[in-house]
Amino acid sequence: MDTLNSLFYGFSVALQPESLFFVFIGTLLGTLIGVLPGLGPVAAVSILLPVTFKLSTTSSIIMLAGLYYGAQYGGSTTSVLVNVPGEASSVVTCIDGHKMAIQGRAGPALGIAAFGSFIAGTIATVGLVLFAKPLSAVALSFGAPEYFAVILLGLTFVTYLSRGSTIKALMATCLGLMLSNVGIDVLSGAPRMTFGMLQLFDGISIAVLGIGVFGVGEVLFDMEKTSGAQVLKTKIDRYLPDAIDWARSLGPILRGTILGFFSGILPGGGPVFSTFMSYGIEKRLSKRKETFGNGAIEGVAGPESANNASATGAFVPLLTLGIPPNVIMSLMFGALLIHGVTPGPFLIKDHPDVFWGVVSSMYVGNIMLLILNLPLIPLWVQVLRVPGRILYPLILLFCLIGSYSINNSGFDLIVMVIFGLFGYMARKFEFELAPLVLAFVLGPLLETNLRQSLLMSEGSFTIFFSRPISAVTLGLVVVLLLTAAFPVFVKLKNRYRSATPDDQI
Amino acid sequence: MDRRDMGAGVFCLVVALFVVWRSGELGIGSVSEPGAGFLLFLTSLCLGGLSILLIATSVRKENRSIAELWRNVAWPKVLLAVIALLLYAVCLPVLGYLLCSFLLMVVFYSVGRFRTTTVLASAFATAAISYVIFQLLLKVRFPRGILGL
Repeated sequence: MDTLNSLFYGFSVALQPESLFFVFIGTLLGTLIGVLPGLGPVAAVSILLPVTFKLSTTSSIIMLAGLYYGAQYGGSTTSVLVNVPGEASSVVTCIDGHKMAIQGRAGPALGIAAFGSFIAGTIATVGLVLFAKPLSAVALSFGAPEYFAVILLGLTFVTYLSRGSTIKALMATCLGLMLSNVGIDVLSGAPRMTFGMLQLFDGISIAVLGIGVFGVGEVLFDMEKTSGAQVLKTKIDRYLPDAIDWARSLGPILRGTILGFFSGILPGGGPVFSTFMSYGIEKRLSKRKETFGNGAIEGVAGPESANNASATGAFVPLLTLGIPPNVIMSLMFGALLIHGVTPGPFLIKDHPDVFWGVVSSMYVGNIMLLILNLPLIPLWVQVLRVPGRILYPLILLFCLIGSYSINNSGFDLIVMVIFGLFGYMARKFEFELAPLVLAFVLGPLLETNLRQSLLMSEGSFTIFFSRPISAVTLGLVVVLLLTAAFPVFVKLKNRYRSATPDDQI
Repeated sequence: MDRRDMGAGVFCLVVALFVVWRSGELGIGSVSEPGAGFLLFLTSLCLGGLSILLIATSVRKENRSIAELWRNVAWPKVLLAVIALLLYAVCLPVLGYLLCSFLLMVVFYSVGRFRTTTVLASAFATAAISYVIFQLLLKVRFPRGILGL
């Protein structure tokens, strides 16, 4: 009953004209950005973050949240029509979605993606409401050792689930932790890695880093490509899936929703992981396995539902524990801190308007996205045809404006360009950037909780193992690191065996 | 030998060694009383170890050169973009937002191989519209520069 009252209160916030306006702007921009290949929701949130500083806290998070799950919707359009994912979590949709478009079924593909996303987003929002309060209650019993352990688990998960090299992901995490140390140390007051520059005393801004690495870096990487993607010329005459499409899609949508929601909660999990998992599960469960890869609607319905549910699920640890589980939540975390709101177990009690307003706005946002996505598809197709030589300069200018507006500082522009170059080089050398940004945001929390724990225990590391939650969590960290390291050891051992004659083994 | 991983590993190893040195200067402290350089020291040791591992694993991987990364791609565009952005950052306080953005857009649209009149008109329109939206409507305080706008 208490939850229901809180939800009604949230709707009273979310249905204010100002909130409705920002939900609309967020979802519209999010869909637009999701449609454009190359610039993903992370870059979009980074670039738009400074704009939200002038808004109220609730409006700011509502808009950024709308942008996030809007981008999940928009990415499916490019995947189906161009066979290029609008953003990373739409990669899987390309497999069967584009095949459906070639078969003249682009409409049902786009339709089921939109409806599946709507159903998943709505159910996931219910999940968020149900999980938030109990999880906040558990989080109240967390001390410094528990927080340290959970943050370390989050960082380990992100590197474990990285698509490329685990060694490189761990290195990116270490670099992120180092960058987070730039600035004045809060405990001792000593300047760290500032090189005597006053502008670095407050550290590096998460917005500038995000804009540089994801905005500028991504544009530089795309600019050097010499060929562009072709939009499929196909007539889209109906968006409503027929009865057979629905019968085949309902199971995948529900399974994708549950999978996506729980993977979104997990630190390091998120839309990309959940979409691949969903596709794999649907293919395994399907009685028409041979259709997968040839236009199976289940291959669109499941992953698209999973990625939207995951986007909503990711808000659970952010809002209740104060721990962002992925890069975008890290940026939301930064946005909340900049507005003077500390996400965590006290958020529901101290800022109920922010919490329940954001949750309620997700219901509203999902309805808006369903209305926006289907009728506006012809518009999004035209947007896809805008060539890069027009789009990239505009995006770069927007990055410059975004970075400058944070502190009105030309120094921030130089930092942004340096990180842009860094992001470009990281992509060239196949380093993932998500672990770096997550580590950058969580670094100060990790350090503070580590130092507090060691002060409490007078230097003894046993404090982490004498408390059940931190002991179990750190045990999971060790298991993950060992399972990641095991294949490397086996490979080295096999190399040693093949290089050494039999009588010397 | 994978020279890309080797190069990345060497770069990160140099960074790690530098940070180890700096964290020592900050004061690592002790386990019971961690100093300002404690976490920096730990992470730089981890980075150093991982860099050595990356270098070691790169030795037996298939050959990949660093130069190939920039073959058959339009890397001069990237170089030009970076130089233009850095010049923008330096000149912004002097020239002001309108003029600086106009010049930046002229550079970018020229690379896009539009006609001269299109380049100039589009650059002006972009600078002017963004000025109206961000300076006048959203109240972002851009430097006025020599035009005083």
